[in-house]
Amino acid sequence: MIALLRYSLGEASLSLARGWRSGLLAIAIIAAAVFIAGAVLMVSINVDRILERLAATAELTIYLKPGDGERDRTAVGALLGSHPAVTSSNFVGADAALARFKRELPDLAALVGTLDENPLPSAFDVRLRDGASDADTRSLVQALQQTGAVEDVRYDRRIFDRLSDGLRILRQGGFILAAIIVLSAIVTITSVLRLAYLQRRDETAVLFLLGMPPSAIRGPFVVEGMLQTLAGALVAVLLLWAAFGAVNAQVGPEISQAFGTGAAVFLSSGLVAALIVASVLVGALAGLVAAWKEP
Amino acid sequence: MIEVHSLSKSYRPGVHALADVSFTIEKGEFVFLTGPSGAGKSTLLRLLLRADRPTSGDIIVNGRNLARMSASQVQAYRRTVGTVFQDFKLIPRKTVYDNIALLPRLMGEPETQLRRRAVQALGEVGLAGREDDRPLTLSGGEQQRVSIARALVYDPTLLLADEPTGNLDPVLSLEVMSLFRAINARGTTVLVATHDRALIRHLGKRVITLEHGHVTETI
Repeated sequence: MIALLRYSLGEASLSLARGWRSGLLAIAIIAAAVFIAGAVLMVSINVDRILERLAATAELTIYLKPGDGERDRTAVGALLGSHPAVTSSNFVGADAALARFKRELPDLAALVGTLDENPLPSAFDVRLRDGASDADTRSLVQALQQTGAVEDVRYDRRIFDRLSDGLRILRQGGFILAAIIVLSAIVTITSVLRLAYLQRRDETAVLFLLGMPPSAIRGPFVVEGMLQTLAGALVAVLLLWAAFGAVNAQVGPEISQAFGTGAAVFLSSGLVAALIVASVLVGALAGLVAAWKEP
Repeated sequence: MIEVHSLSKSYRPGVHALADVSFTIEKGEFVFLTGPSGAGKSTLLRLLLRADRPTSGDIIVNGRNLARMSASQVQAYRRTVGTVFQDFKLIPRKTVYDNIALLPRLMGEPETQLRRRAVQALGEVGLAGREDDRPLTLSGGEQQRVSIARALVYDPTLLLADEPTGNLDPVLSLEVMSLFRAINARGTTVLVATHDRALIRHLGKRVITLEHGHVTETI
């Protein structure tokens, strides 16, 4: 086994050195495929974090009329507490709303500070039950307006749903694109390895006639495929890391502030390892396919 | 050692490369297989090496029917057969030693033992000290002797040679035949396919003659 591994590694390295141009092409295509797959994965993970954050914030904000009394607040609170479409509600008084405004939008805090009185009304932040329909939400809004204590209702759920749908389509498109490129990378690497196999056909045919086991015939091509895909995957991960750093430096703080998600995240070490292992397995498979037919 | 029963091989319907061929070769025999070009000599050797399958008939070597061997058994069988080709079939980018040692090394033979055997085999064919040469720096006769050393390193029970002197001049041809005779004297069964009648007469061994796929004479 060790002899076979040593032989396969030696022959694969020689073959890579001899056919370095086609080898480089294969590595570049694999790197592109892994880069795109990784980028889609990374964007997807970060978008999911934003969506989770959005989902966690209030979906329905009920602004109470100025000068509302304790009675109106209790009435609205009771209605929210008993309505089946509501999961939870949180009262934000006018002072708390102002503090939150200053915290979340520091650039505008000074402007508000120049006003004589607090312009922000008291409000309820409401989270809706998962699966609550538009009809449920409409009936809740209608009931709230009938209390006479409500100035306005802001409904984020529909925007969130549309955003979520749009991002899902974009993500699916990204994965389809990545799949197409991965497929083309597999075809390319198989062709490159097949070419190497055909170039050495006379040699392998003799070794086969002399009794060389099929594993020793195929071993060098499997190892060559693994080396190519390993190199491609490592290049892709390095490029991903560089691209992530550059993009994060440009727009990371703005996105983090706008959505309150904290710093964007790179792929976890587990995912990076999975990408590399999957690439190497694809390389092994391509080598096996290229050298499958007996010489 | 070798029993061939009613062996036929057709590559196209109605065209027989071999037709109803039967013969027996005893263990330790030296046999020439002769006949004009296209008589079926190489086809028969390919079938004996299980590089091809017969259309009908059986080949039994050392009591084992080649047709009933699995793929891995075929490879193991081939490693018990020394094979020598007309065009030597050495790997030009490898040294003489690596050409001889490649297969046994892959089969897990320890390097020290392997080197001893390879050096011994090279000594037997008169190429001692040429381990590090590349095949293309050797003459045709020397390359053929390397291929014989490669066949010897496994200490085969059967040696098959397909026109081994086809690319050699008469003097070198006689040298190669002397080597085969020496190998045969150690107990290895030798089957040499050749159309060189002079060489056959010179060695005076048993001859199986093929013509148009049929055995026409066994002397």
